[in-house]
Amino acid sequence: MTTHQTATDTVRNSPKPRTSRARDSIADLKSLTRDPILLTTLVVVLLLIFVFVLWPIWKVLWLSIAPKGKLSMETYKYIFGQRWLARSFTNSLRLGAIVATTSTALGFIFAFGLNRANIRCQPFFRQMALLPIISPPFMFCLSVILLFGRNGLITNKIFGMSNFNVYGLGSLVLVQTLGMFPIAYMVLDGVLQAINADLEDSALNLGASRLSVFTTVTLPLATPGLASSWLLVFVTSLADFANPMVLAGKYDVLSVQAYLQFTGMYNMPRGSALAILLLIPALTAFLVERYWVSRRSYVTVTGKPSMHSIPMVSRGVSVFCEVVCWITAIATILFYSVVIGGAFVKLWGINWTPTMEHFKYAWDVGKNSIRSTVIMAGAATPLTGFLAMVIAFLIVRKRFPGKGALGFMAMLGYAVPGTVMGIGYILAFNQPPIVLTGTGLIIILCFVFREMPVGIEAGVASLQQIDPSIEEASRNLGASTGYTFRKITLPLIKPALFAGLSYSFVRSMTAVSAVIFLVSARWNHLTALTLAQTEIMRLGAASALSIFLIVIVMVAFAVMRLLVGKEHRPTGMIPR
Amino acid sequence: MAKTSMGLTFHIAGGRFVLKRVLSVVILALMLGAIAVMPAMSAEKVVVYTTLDEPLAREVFAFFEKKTGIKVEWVRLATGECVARLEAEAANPQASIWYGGVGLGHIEAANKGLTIPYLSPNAKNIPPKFRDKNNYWTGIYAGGLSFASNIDRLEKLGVEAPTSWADLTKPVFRNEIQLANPGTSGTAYNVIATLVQIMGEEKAFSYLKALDKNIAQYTKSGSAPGKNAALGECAVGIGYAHDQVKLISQGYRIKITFPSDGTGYEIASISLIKGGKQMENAKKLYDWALTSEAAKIYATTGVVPFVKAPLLPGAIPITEINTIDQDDQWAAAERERLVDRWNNEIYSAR
Repeated sequence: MTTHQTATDTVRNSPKPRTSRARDSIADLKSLTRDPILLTTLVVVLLLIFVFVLWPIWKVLWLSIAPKGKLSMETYKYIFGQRWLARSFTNSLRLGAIVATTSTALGFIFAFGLNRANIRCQPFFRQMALLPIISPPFMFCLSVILLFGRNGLITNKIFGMSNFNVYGLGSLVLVQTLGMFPIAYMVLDGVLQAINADLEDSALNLGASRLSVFTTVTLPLATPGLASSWLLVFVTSLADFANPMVLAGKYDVLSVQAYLQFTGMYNMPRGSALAILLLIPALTAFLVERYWVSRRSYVTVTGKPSMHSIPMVSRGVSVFCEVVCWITAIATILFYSVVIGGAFVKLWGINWTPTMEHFKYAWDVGKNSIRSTVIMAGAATPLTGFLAMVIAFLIVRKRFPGKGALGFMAMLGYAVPGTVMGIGYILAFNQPPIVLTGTGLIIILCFVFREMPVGIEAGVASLQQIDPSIEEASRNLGASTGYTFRKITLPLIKPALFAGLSYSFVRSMTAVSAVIFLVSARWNHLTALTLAQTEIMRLGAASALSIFLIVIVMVAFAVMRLLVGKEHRPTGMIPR
Repeated sequence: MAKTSMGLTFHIAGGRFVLKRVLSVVILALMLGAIAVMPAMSAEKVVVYTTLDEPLAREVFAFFEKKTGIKVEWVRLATGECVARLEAEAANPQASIWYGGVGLGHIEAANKGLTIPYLSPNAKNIPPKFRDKNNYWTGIYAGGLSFASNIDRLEKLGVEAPTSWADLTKPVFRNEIQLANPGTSGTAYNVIATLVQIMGEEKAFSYLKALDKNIAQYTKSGSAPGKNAALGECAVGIGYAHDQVKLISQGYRIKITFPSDGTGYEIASISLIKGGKQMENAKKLYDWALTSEAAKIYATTGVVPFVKAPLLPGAIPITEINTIDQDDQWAAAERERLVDRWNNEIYSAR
């Protein structure tokens, strides 16, 4: 089977043996000095990461190892002596691993269904795959309680159960999977689009069964994407505290414990130490992923046109994908209908009189926050996207010493819980040389450096599929690094850029944990306001604010599509 | 464009346009960022961190602005978040006054050296019991610990609302009571401190063990049990009365009762922040916060101010509840030990 052979060759093509590494890095250094644009870019990127990622995190780390200004291990001694904290740690890991697996699987089914299986209602499902991330996280939890709680609309009013327990690992997995599979979908969608259809087609033409094409061509080629999305979801789940805060019940997780040490026990050193512990599994996963993926090559975009001529999947698989998509979509719509419905009735569950008063109230209290939120998210998004693509390009394409460290450092901002990032930003930027507290800029920067890794991961995953010889050709013809990046690379990774942009915008609009420490009177944030409304159980107003948010995000997506250019789908297929 | 199999080639040609757009957007973003750095222009102002509820804060500060012409720039933060933020900002404090928030938090902030003492001329309006003897903080209103019962759920269980701490351990309430986790919530810690002050430590812990059997869930936040009772998630939630009064005014079917054998309370307080930039205006706000004019506004949301003011229906003056002689200084000092004990003996054993 020739095709089988080709695909595996491509996949198993490992880089140079270890022995030549040292010589390589000296050569890398030399070539770096010959490429001033690359050198400058690298210096700027490193400087930014040092100042806006490493420094704030270092400030927090310092708190935990030197609680009273002097080095001391007492904080860590306390932490390792507490049984309930050890339990939280393993709970966090278990939850993260489960959610990362389920989300990646679901994201893959969506991406596969939309790019290969040719399911119906594609535009609808594309929206549905992104919708779950557009809403403040605690609103989703509230929906779960209102629907499935002891007094929930579905559990109690429909099925008559009065003691259904929604709190615990099961609901957490459900809520986090629904909320986080869009991350996996966005990464995998870009990756599947970029896999050259010719490979799959020729395998089919040569007589391989659909299953063997899938397992020996499609799946191996999608590996970087699968690994990236597993990693991203794992890290997101570890750092998430809004969902477990409300829904965990007895299932304590570390991110919540860290937050509560800061705000409940007034113990900053302990909170910092717990957050630092949380970094260990996140960064381990990151290193494993990089090592595992970098041993192989996934190049399939070679510059030649590609188009599907044969449907890739059997009827059964296509139906399966569609059913899974429907179930997910219905669950999403169900949760959203609570948020939307809550805004139009007087009091959910008690008084169902329709009303518009929540919108009026929400607009009155929220218009300033809405304006500043849009400005901040709008400023952060393009910066995030651009920086992410530059870093992804440097990581995949360029050779320079300390390359692994760059990706690693960039990831840090994403892996720490938001609370830590927020407190780190205050500690770092509240006194000279850089004073930013009280400004909108501190929030913008926090968004940029916290959300950048999703763009980087998407960019890395899709760049790994593009044959460097396209870029080499450009450079051989006399183009500079910058010119090649602009003219060749950027257009090719547009889906990844779009994914990075839209994700960073949404996260900037719905961020809560970091922002709560950075907001000022003039630069308030919509989610902080929504949270305050749920605090006093003005659920109608909170719902109305969420609807404003959903509308803004939808409009922003449309604008971004317009600016980045129409999403291009290279794998055109013959309609079923 | 792009509907062709030659899409790739087309894209290479179209790259320049993509980049121009991307770059212009990046530049625009940088400009927006620049706007975001510019300081607010306002001569007379005071920056406030407040733990009052959003609508109350809105009213209180709007009134003060109108009265004095001093612009109030306020940010709403929960008690714990506020202390964390004050601590992180200590090198260069952004706000001058912390308005509202649980008394224990204010004590904690004073112990950490984040606030400064101030004897307001209006402090005489407040009974000495409700203000710090060293003048670090002054109470503005109180709320007693209470039981919020969901009326429908009580009917289903066929019981009356609990009226003593002992009532809560009745078997009929198995899995029907919510309390916050004292390790994470000042409200719940206040419950433990109250019980220890009423019963003595050993008896209090055996009571907590008995109560544990009836607890459906230890929530993270102190106001969650009341809210969950409102939603019908449990029959009884333990929390501050003024939080529950708000639920009633929203339309939830809640009944508030107090333990007849004595209860604790919170003192919502104000403190001046050490190193604040607008101390003069902050003091003006501090003084005003202790007047009956301000108290009238507090009272509209169901809390019970220390200065006399007309109360909302359902609100019960702290003087009419059997409150214990609460020692907040003691409670703050014992906090870590008692919480650790609770964590090890009760929470870990669940």
